[in-house]
Amino acid sequence: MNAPNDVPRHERAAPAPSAVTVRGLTKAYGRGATEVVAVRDVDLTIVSGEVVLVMGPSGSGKTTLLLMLGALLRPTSGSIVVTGRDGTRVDVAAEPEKALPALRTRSFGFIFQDYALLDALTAAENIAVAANLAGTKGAAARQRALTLLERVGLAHRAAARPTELSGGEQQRVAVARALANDPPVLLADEPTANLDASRGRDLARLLRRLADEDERCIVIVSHDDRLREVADRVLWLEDGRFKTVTDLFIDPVCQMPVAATGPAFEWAGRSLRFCSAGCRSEFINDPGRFRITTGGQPGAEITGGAGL
Amino acid sequence: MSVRERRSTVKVPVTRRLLAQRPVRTAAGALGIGLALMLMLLLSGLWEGVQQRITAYEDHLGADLVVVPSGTENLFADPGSVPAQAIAAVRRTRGVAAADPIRTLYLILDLSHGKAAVAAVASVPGGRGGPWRMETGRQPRTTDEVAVDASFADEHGVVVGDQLPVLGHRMRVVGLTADSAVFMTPLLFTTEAAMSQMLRAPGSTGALLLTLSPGAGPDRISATLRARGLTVRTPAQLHTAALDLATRIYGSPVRLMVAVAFAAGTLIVALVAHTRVSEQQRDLGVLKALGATPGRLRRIALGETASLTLGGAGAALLLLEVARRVLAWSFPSFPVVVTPRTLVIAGAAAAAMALLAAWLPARRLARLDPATAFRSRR
Repeated sequence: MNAPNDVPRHERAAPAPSAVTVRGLTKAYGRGATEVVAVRDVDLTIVSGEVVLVMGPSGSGKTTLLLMLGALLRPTSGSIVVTGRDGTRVDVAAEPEKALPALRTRSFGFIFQDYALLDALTAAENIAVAANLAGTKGAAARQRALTLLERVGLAHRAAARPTELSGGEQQRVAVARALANDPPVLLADEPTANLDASRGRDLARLLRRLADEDERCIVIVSHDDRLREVADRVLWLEDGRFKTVTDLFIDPVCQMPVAATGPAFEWAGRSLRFCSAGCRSEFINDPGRFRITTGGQPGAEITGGAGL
Repeated sequence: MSVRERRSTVKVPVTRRLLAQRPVRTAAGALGIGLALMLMLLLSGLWEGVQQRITAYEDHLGADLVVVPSGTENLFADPGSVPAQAIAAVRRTRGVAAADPIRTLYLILDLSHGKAAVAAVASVPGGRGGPWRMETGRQPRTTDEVAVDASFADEHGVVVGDQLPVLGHRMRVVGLTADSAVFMTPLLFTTEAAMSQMLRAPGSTGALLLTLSPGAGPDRISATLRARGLTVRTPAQLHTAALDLATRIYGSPVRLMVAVAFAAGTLIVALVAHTRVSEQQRDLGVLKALGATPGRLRRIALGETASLTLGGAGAALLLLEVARRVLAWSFPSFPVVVTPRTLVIAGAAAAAMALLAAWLPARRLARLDPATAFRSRR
């Protein structure tokens, strides 16, 4: 089992109750010779109020892990115990299929990369519909929607359709919708991927605030290195396993974080790391096009790193 | 439940909002369904109109019983002769107040611009079996007079005072009759004496329309006449026989056309429902990820399909009225009769279409992977 990431990094005066406890979580697709293990025997404990950032190369199993945490995908084995606000504990992996919709409304709030708002509904209705799914209807649902819009600073945009909102506004509506049923866990999939730097930073701070003020635990899957600022812990998932990472590099082509454990390349006196062979080839073909954060002479040969 | 209580249970009307999101597509979908339903209603209405026209004469006989030649089931299709002795025997029967002779047969008229088929009826002036409603002019009284159906006259440019060749004789048109456009063969009325002369069969007749005395039971009279070797039918039996004959000839193709329209309609509704669900897969996936149950998603799909079908039904009624008016103007002999029964059948067909069409998308939605919301990108 992967023990190193099983302990929350941040220190608290009194230990917070754990909100999510994952043990031996595995997800395999296919069988026999075609079997692919996307997540392998993962252990993880997340406490209330903690923001956990899961990073890793493409195809490392990040989204699969998030889907399983949110009861959107059945694990092949393992357990995911979620502690509700009332203290009740539920093993998501062991719940029958019929119980999952109610569990999702009660326990999880989802924030998607492309916001996933319903274009047919207004901002307030997008939130109210999530409240409806948990049984809150009529004026109570409308009021809840308005309160949450106010909390994310969008009360004045309640009647706007998603197509009338900017990307940043849409993502804030999506955050408000995720809070509609006051879930103990928020799950975010690349929440800043479609936002510019300033709006991405705003959203990161908003997520941090939601974790601190509501004692909510937040799991973010992202390539965005900026989110490290607000995370209590950064977990590196590679080949379906959490790995201990001492340092992260930024791929000069796609700007994605790359673990120091991968092969290194020498270029103009600098040590570079790439997320994939594609990015490395692109860099070799036109190194002058990419931003290198430290030193180096353009035009120098790239060497080493046979592993990619 | 009070208004306040009702308001407190109102959910966001997702189905209505999804329908309103793309109004042109929604209207196009409803119109497609409307066209299919209209086609069904039109064919059913045409068949209903044809049936009414086929039995128009039998329905206006006004007789209690009809004595027909032996073996005759259908007045026009089985023409025969009732001999003079039989006529006398019928008239002598107790309980028979009147026995009006008629002759019925199909004729081909050789008009100046071509041939035209008619169903000729010969009756005694003032007796039963003649025209029941005149549009203009009067009933024929003498052996050189005829009255023809008004729509036939209109179609062939015949007016009162014109002469028509009937069985080699020039007959003068003295009146135009209404409600007598029997399907394919409109009615032509003449006198029984004229027809007997033309057929060279004086003394005999084609059939006898019996009027019974008050208190005389039709069953008893019928039994008495049968005992004398006569063939007796009720107007209802003749109605049924005429309808059966027409159904044998036209029923199968019409039923086939209605079935094709139903199948086409179901396919259109299914296509519309399927397309909508495909287009909304991402939105519905998001709802499922947020916690919507498969039942809720099925209700959304069914609600959308039902709304489209309902809208289509409204469009079908409007389109039907337009088609009815166009047909009445251009083809007056093809009436479209929409009865409450037809409407009920069309309504049931629409509901069946909607259910059949929504079944597959609903099944698909029930199996929809909620992770779609994470994977799909705009």
